[in-house]
Amino acid sequence: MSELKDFCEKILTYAKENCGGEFEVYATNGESFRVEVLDNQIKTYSVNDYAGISFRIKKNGKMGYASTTVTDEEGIPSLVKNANDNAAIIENPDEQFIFPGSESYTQPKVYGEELDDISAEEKIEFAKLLEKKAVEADEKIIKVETSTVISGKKTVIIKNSNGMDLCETSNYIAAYVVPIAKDGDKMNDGFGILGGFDRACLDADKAVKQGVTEAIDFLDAKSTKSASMRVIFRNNAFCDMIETFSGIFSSDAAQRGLSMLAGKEGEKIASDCVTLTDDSTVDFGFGSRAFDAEGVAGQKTVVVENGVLKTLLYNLKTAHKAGVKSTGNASKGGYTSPIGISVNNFTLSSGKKTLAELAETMGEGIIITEVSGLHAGANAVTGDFSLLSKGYLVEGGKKGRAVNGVTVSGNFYELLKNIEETGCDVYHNMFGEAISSPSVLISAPMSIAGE
Amino acid sequence: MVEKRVSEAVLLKAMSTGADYAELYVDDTSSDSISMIADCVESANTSRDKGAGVRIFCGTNSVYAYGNGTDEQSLLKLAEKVAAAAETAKKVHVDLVLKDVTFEPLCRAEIPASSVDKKIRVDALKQAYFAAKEYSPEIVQVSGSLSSSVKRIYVANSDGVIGRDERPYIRLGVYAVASDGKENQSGFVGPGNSAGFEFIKSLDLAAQGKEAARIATTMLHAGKCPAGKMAVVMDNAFGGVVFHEACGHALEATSVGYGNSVFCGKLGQKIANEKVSAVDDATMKSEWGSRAMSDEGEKTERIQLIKDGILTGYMIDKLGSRRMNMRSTGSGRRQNYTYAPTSRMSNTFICAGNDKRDDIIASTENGLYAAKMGGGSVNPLTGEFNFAVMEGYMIRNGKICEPVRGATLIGKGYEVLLNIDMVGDDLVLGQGMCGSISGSVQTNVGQPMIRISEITVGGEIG
Repeated sequence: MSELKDFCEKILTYAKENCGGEFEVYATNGESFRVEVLDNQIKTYSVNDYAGISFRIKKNGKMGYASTTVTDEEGIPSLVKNANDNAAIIENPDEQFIFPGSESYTQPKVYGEELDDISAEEKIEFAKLLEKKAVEADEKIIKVETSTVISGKKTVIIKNSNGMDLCETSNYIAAYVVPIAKDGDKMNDGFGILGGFDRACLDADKAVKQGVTEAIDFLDAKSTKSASMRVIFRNNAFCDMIETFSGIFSSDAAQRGLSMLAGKEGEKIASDCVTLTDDSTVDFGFGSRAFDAEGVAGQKTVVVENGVLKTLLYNLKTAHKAGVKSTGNASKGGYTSPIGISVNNFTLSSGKKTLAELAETMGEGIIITEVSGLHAGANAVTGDFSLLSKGYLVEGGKKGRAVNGVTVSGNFYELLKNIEETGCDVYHNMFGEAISSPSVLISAPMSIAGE
Repeated sequence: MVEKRVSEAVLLKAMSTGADYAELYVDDTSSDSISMIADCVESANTSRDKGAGVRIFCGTNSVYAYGNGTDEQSLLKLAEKVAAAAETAKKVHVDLVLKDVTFEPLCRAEIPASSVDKKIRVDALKQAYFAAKEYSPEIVQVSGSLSSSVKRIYVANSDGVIGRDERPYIRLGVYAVASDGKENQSGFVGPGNSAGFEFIKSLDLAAQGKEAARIATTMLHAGKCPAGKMAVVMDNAFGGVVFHEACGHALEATSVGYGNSVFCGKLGQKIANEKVSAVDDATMKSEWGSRAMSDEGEKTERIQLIKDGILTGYMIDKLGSRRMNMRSTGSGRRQNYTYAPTSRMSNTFICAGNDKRDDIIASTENGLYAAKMGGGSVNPLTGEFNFAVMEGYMIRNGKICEPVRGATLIGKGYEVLLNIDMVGDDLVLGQGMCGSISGSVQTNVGQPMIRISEITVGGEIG
């Protein structure tokens, strides 16, 4: 890691000596580990390290970017030249910032020391255990498609010509199992996942139960007659919905006319029971961090309170344009990406009822337990979605037969207004954005298309 | 990129603990992207991504390690890592003689994009951008991008092959948003090729921009698509995403080799309507999904997947070949060195048939005409797929009527293949990025206009 810091320093020194303007190096490096087990043997095994450096320069008010994974000194002049050349063609008139740093930083816990003690052998054994437990859980489970353990460690460094010098290292471990159930010629798979920052999170039984239940329950699932019906989104499915549409809370999208929430700060945009909070300061959240991609200190931001939009999410550029402060939501998709905006730990407030109690309240309808094809069937700009879904019918307030091969369609902006009640069963998304959501009951009937 | 001596040492070290196959892969990609939004150039990025991966097989199991260092010491360290993870500990005597194999390039950049002045590239992007923006006052926002890259690849493996490939890519993207103040709708075009800047010069840039804007404004004035089972006429080009999702993924060794595909053990059997023939062809000149050499150092092929409704082939990589006891079809692909390769599609399409476009529409009494498709996904185990219709119209009494939006097509791949009852004569390919376990790779989908006699359409319940 100190090697990478030294290399960043060399880039800054070269830039200082050879060109004017303000500049910044954003570098990341880390390790990743992955083992996939099949039939009690290692199917694939991968152990890697990586490093990437992004350099940006602000010249005449314009920001140009260049990046590289090649950390030899001969590459520095072309890295700096490329960023310079790119700055020269930028036309965007918005004020750009190379940030000197926040007044203070609070470091949330993002590194689980205990994970350093878990050896590769232990991870392999755990993947084997997951597979064994899944196959033994029920006679209908004929095999697993995969039983995988992944872990990683990542360091982010930001250094710039205005004095910023930040560094943060985080890690994680996660595992998932995909059991396959068979009954006659019918086959179906399920998905069980776990993850966290310590040994205690490696709860094989929980992940196996989740995956096996799903694989078996949906063996006999059938479509249902197309109808307009009431809907509960189970916690994990609603996490996916929020993740797909979290971009509507981005001030960048709003300023560009790509979010219907533009100009709605202070207005009611959701039902009373909806409070959405973004917080990068919690310990061991998957989206926790001491500083964002521009080096702005992390914070807690109430985005929607009792249905009222309190603020959008800002980075330095969009905040300056709107005359407000950055909310610490600057992000980079990867080290090469330009600065964008994304949520940190984004949470929908929970209510009192369990999923079963929500079903009882609903009476008749459907519990959606999984939505798929979100990259295709959901339009983050319009809010429209039409998604392949799985779930259970609810009759007389009780969970009934499993349903698949249906689509649920609607509009996310409408959905926010139609959340009647949120449950007490908060689920934390483990891949993608760090979204947490309970199950939600929707008040207005939705279009369920099947047969 | 690597000396032969070093490659040999790396492969031998990787196999030193009993692996029966080893492969060294190095790639070096230089990319450039320029993007526009709100009528001005918003960002420009130049990047270089170089790294190496070493993979070994122990029977049908594999071990992979990658890193950014490509010097001798770093490569040997990767070899040590994989060797340490090999489960067998037996020493095997390995004779290794590496030979350079030449793969005649299929794709060349006549005018390398990076040699074109950035201002000229910006001008090209602006032509497409402003044609979209000025299409209608309803177009409230447009974003555009012009991205290009060159990937240089080096592969050395214990089959004795040293192979090199150089792949240029270039793609234009225009995304237009139409709004009436209450609702937004969007349209997208993204033509690309494995070529240089000459491809951009060959495009009618304004027409591309206008097309994105036309879709967005048409959809803004469209009613919601009714839901239910109905006949669907799917137009050519990107309409082929249906075949890609519904069938293509389930014909990859990645799913077939592990018994996780509905098409396992079905070679020689009828899986589609007899009007359907389909191929995966990586050998087409300058196409988006083409390449002369697989990412495992093999010559690529044209694979006949389906012939007159009969299943005739799978897409197989080296590891899949071992699992399936079938020869590799040169289908091993990966996004870059950060992924071990696996079987992937290249240019995958339904072949042209004999039906005429006009006849297909005219003979459809009622249904949906899917003029432009969006993306989709599939579960290869169950065959369940879904994909979005970007631009749709109702068909009534054999005529294309009002536009509809919000339609999603869902179904099972093996059912849809049997339900394709008309196949047009107007094959066109469309460019996409396909994501799977070996990352995101350039793939062409394609088909002529086809009709599916019945499929579930997700939309609004009347």
